[in-house]
Amino acid sequence: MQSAVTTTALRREFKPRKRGLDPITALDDVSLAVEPGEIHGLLGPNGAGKTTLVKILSTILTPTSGTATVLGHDVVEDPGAVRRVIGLVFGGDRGLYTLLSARHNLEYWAALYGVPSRDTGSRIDALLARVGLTRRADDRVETYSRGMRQRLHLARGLISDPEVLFLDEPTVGLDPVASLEFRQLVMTLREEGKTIFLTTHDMGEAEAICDRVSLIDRGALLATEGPETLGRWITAYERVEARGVTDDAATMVSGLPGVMSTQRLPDGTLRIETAVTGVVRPIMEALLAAGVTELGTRPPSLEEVYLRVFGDRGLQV
Amino acid sequence: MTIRIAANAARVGYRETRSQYTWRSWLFGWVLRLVAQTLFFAAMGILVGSDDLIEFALIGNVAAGVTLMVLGIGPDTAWERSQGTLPLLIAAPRSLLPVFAGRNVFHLVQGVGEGLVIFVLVAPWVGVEGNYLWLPPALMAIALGSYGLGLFIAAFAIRKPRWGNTIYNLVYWTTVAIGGVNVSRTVFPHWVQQVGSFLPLVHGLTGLRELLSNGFTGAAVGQLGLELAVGAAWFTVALAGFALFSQGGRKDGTIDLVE
Amino acid sequence: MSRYLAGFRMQLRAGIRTPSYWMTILTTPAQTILFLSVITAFDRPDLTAHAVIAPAVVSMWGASVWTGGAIVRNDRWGAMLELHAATPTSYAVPVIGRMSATLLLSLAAIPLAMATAWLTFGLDVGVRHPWVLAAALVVTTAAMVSTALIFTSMTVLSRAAITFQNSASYPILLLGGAFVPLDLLPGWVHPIGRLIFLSWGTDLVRDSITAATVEDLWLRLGMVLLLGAAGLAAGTRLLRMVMHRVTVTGEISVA
Repeated sequence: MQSAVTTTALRREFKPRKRGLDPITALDDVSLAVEPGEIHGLLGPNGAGKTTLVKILSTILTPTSGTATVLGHDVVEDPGAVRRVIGLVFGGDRGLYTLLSARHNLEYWAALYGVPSRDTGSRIDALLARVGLTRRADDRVETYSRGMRQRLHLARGLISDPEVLFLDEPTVGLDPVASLEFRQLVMTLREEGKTIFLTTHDMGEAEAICDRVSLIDRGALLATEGPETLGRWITAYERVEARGVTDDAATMVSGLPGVMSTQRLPDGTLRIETAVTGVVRPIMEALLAAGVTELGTRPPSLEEVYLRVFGDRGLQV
Repeated sequence: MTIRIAANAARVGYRETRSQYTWRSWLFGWVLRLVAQTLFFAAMGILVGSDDLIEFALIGNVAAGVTLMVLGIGPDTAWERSQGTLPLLIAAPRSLLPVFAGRNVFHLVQGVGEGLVIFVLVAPWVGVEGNYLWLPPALMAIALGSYGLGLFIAAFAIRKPRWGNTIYNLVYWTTVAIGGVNVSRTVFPHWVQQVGSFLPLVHGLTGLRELLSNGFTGAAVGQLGLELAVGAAWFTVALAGFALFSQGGRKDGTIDLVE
Repeated sequence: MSRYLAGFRMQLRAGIRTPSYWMTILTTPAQTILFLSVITAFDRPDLTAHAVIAPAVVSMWGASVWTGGAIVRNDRWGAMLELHAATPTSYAVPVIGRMSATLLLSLAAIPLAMATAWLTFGLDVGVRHPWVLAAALVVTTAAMVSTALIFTSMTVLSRAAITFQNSASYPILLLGGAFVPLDLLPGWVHPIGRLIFLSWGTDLVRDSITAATVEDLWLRLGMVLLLGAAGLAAGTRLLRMVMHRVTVTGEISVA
């Protein structure tokens, strides 16, 4: 079966602002394949090259070298064909005409995507209902909350009923409830057979909704994994944080099996990092026994996981 | 302290200007526009068949070019606000005025410089008589006289960014229409002339014309003095406007409202 | 066509709330007074049509150049430029639609200037050939939008380009005979001026108001349309080139 999205040895350099400096490499030798109907995540910290890749795939940026195709169409040779089959959704506050209502925004983009005018009205109604904006459809977008704007963004990206949808950090800046709602919307799209390519810096998000996740850092692809692998990492590198731990108790904890390191944060909190799974419980029991009552677990940061899993290849923390 | 803030802001203003223009874009863009604008109005003399009008309108539009530039700080300030740099400025716990005043000092110098450049480029075509050496100080007086009103527009534009450009254009064209730029103010009814007396450019331009034709006379000095007085008056009004804005903005949180 | 109309409708809706797009017409009364004061001072009531048409043309041309730039600037900062580039439609089409909407609003400058002349100086502009005036205004307005697209496309390139875009206004107004007809300007500029649609348009508009008979009507309408079409072709092509360039350099995004 033909892949929905492919990239082969994709490279993109940017000219530096000042003359005489070397070009900045945003993407380096990126080859990946997204299968039809999957939610493929592109996970990486800020500045890893995620947005650059989405821009190239959506034809708004050309690669320096290498090739990329969407449903078999080359993004450089035949951008017009690519544009007819994709939808693009940005995260953040930009990309909407805030002086217009949701409905008028969608009408405008529907026309630019060549949606027949007799279908436009019903399609917009359906999309508005789907993203839960029917009641506010005729209010100006400037009166919308961040979550509402993001859902309108999604509706905009779906206006041409695209087969492939690019979502670039769609939940950035959303509160947890709005993020959850948005993810649920994205999951319903998979059921319709749409291919979704989603960038994120949130491991939890990637684990929760992606079928496969490509890990990217400093422009280079590190690996492509299933969500269960991510889940394993998140648990394996879970941290314990506790307040009010005496120095004696801290020394005791650092000697426990499976504890990789302990660290005092500036506010006095003790952070305990683990090297293997299954040790969190004994550590917490030991702390409780030592009279510590304020304690809990935290998922590891993406940077930490990269460092643990990929060593020097990953970010320097 | 205030002086240090203003000096800092002046440096920022210079860098802003440099980022906005390259020498080429300034010369072939902005200066070309001002030259064409001056010629456009000076050409009125051809239509009505008066060489005197050509010369009159030339001097008038060179001076008006300075006012155009200096009043431009109004919409520029609104632009800054739309760029989101304004909340940062407000967060610094100082009065807004030294910041803006500093940032805009460069506009004054630029305005006078542009007036001179236009004059040098256009005058040879027209053949203007008089002692041109009076031009720089008179244009400087006009720049200073216009600055207060420019700041007042800025104070307004911060509150109503969408209207910044509109107000700027309305004020500028009203000033040019009734300010004796293209034709003597005596063509208007008395009350219109009275209103014009409260606008910048008007007295400075009268003084400039006097300097060019009769040299350094008491009348000329008086007019330039009036120009500065008008500037000072508007400066005071702008001050009040900024105080009002700063208070209102902190109170209702509208400062960081994105347009 | 539906894509052009989408831009047109969208701008009408947004434009009501965006005074900066059509505000140039608010300066029309002041500018009308400016021109009228000159012809009054020199006692030339025969030039009333010149003095009334000039401020309207200045406003309308200003609006076309300004709007085009403002649309691009707004789209660029709002990341809508990127979203447009990702659609199958050429950016020029909705932009022309949006500029047309603004110019339609700015046509109000004509009655505004006439009303100002009547209210301030008591001058009545009688139109001798209203249908010719209407036709001349329609083709001239269309040519304004088309030609302004050239300057709009420059705005995509950089912030410094705003200055170039700004420079478009008065050279065109001067050579386009907005107040002083091209024929009265020095002979050596005539060939350049006749290449600008506006010189044909303003002459025709004035003739429709004052001339006993309008000569060569179809030829002159045709010239405005022809030069407007040339502007449209150049502007569309330029915009496509510029849009391609920014996708290569990455300057399409500001973030």
